[in-house]
Amino acid sequence: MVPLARLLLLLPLLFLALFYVWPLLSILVLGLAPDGTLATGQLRQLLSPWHLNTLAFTVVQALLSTALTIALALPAAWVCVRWSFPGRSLLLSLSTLAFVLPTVVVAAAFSALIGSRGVVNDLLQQILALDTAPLRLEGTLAIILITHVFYNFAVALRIITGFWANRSTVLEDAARVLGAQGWRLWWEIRLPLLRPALLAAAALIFIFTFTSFGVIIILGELRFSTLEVEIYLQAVNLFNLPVAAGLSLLQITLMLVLMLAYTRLRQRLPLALRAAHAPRPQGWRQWAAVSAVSGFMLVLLAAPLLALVLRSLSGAGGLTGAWYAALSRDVRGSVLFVPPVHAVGNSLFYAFCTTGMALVLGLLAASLMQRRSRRWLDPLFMLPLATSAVTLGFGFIVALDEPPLDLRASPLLIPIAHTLVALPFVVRSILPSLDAISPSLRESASVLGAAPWQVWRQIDLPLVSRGLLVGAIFAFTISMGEFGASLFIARPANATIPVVIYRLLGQPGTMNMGQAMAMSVILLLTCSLGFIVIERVQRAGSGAF
Amino acid sequence: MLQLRHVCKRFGNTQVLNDVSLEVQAGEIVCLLGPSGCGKTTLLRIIAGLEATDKGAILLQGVDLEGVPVHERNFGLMFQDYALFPHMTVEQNVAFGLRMRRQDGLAQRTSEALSLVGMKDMGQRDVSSLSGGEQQRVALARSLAPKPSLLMLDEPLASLDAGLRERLLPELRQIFVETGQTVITVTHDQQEASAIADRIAIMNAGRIEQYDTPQALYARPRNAFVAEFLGLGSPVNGEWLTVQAEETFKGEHFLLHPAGLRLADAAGDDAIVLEGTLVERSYQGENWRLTVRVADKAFRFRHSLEAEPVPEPGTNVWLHVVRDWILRLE
Repeated sequence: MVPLARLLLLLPLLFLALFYVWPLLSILVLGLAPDGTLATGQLRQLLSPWHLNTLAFTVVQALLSTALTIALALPAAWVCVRWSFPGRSLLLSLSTLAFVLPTVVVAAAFSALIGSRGVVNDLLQQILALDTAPLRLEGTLAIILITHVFYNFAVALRIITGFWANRSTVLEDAARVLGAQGWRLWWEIRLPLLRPALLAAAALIFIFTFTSFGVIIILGELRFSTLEVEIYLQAVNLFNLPVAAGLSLLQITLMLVLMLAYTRLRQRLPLALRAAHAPRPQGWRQWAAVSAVSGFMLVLLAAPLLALVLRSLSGAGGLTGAWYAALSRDVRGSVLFVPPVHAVGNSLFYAFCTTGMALVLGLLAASLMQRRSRRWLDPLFMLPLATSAVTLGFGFIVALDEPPLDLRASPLLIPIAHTLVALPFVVRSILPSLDAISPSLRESASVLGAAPWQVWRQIDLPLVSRGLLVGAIFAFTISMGEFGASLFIARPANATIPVVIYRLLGQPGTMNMGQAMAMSVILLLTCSLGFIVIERVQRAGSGAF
Repeated sequence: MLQLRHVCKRFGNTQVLNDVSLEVQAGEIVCLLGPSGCGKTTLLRIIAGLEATDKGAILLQGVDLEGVPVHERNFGLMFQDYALFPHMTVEQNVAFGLRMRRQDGLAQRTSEALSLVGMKDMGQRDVSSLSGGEQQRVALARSLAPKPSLLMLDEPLASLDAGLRERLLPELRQIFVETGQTVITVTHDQQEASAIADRIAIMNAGRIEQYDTPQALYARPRNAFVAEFLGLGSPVNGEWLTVQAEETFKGEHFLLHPAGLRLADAAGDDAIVLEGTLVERSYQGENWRLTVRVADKAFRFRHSLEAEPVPEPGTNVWLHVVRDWILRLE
């Protein structure tokens, strides 16, 4: 291989070192030794009742969300595996779509559905002839939990149905012959057998809800604070950087432990979700079960999104496109310095930059993994996945603000952060198709007269094109929806769509609300389109994270 | 045309090739024959330039190939799994080498190569839609199309079923002879080797044990490995033979070649006679295959149907060994 190609391969490692390891190390230094000497007083401050409360709430809300999600997903998974019924694959796709939507969109959607200015409250007010909204869910644990269930339903559903679909029913049949029936069959056989899947699903949902940021900060209305929110508040509102750093360290450590546990649990599970052949439901009891579950899923998953679209199109006088039209105007009294449509431009620009960088780096990283030891490279490139977006954003602020790496004013700062978040997904999309290329294909091309770069151009590139496409869409949609890191590093003038939605949602007034809804719908459509393409392209191949 | 001089190759602790020297004439078909793991595939990869040698030289028409990269050697190599490019049609696969080397008459030479292997009308087909035999032909056409100075084939028929293999073997040889192609092929199957090659190099544990025409190999195996690998039986030592034949034989290893073994005294004074037991007989259509045990050794040989009737197994017999077929091995 020519030296230039070798250097190129090192590029992703350099990128990780500069924009991942360096910021994290900076946080470490700031947290442990802000003045250059090791100071433990700093860490002791974390043990104050306030911070301990935050930690306790973080764990409790994550546990509650996990338990609630699994309890609701279990019957749904059972019905989806057991019977095939009209709309089954649509419901499964819908649940996955919910999982990939940006947090601000989901928060906006629940706000549109059950918020004090939401569709449900409007209806109740009309029916009951009330003056004020009867449901006041903003700033309650309830709305946070419901939103978390919406988000993570797909995680539980996918893991549990995947596990069941790959299982034979021989053990159940044996238990039945031995006399087990009804709830005893569940209690003695089905649930114990399902344990590894339940544990893995629970671990993953716990991780996701433990690091929940957008949902808490938007729907919790600052009445609740998780570790993630606290890092943001300490750093941005109180400018207490050392405390934020200490909390980040706590967060990083806990995340690594949790990810490790999840990886262990995941290894015991079958990977692929096979669409099992299932019979139609028979008799009114089975149909009733199927209808109940599909009705529930439809309400949980579709109602918020429908409410969002409805809200974005309705004003005081019925249907209106006014909110969309207002996006291009800098309305007086708006919290923003620029018209919201600029944010759309910003987001698109950043998404294209992110896609370009993530594809190049992802392709190089995947090629590097093919040539060198994968045992330490693979976890290395997955690391950003185990680091919360807020921590990344915080690290950027701490590390990249002084020469030689002063990127505060660089238009590339946001795309770099997004690339970091997207890179694990891009590598995971490319690697399987790169692995599938047999070495003899490359050698054959070589013997037939293809120089090394021609081998790459003629053999590798066309054969990974499918993986590249999937990776590109991942990178694009992740960049469009990324919230935590962007909120940290975006300046008012270069705010992205999610940041603007967040700012608008936090303001009173129907104009702000309407614009937030309209922007969320734009984001919803972009991400749904990306999701549909990925599902189509991936159907032939595989690829899971 | 091609000369290998004292080629050595080591992978970790294993000496894969140990001082291999070999010469191939222009237009000659040479087969590397040996058990799996003997280094034959590595040797092909070294000639192609896919692996580097530790020691030794490879010369093409007197020019050392050291430092010439794979894609500039103008060789052909057909892989065991054929390595057809899945994203190209049959025609695009065959044209690939011509395209990479910027050779003229692309379309014409592609269709020539395809008709040479009898796949003229299948150019537009997807390679994934081809049967094993068809894939083998496309791979062959792809290797032949750029007219390589040397064509190498790694187990070309290994992934095909026995019937197809038998049909394709003479066809392959005919194509090579017609085009005057210099060929090195690799196999572990001795029948395949004798059917296709002008000369066979028998390899074992990284060495070439013997390099000769198929006829010469069978008639005069040089050592115990070659004799056993070709199915000619194991050698006996001089002491054993002296005791059994009641006649002095000085030397370490003697092969009692199956071609010289008889039940009846057919050769008169030209044969020695050993006392043994017929332990097995199997009828094989054109002749019998007999196993006779003499003391602690067993000998297998063919017995013509026209010769005298074969006794029942368990009968004591006299085994005659024609003196000319008692071969002294290294």
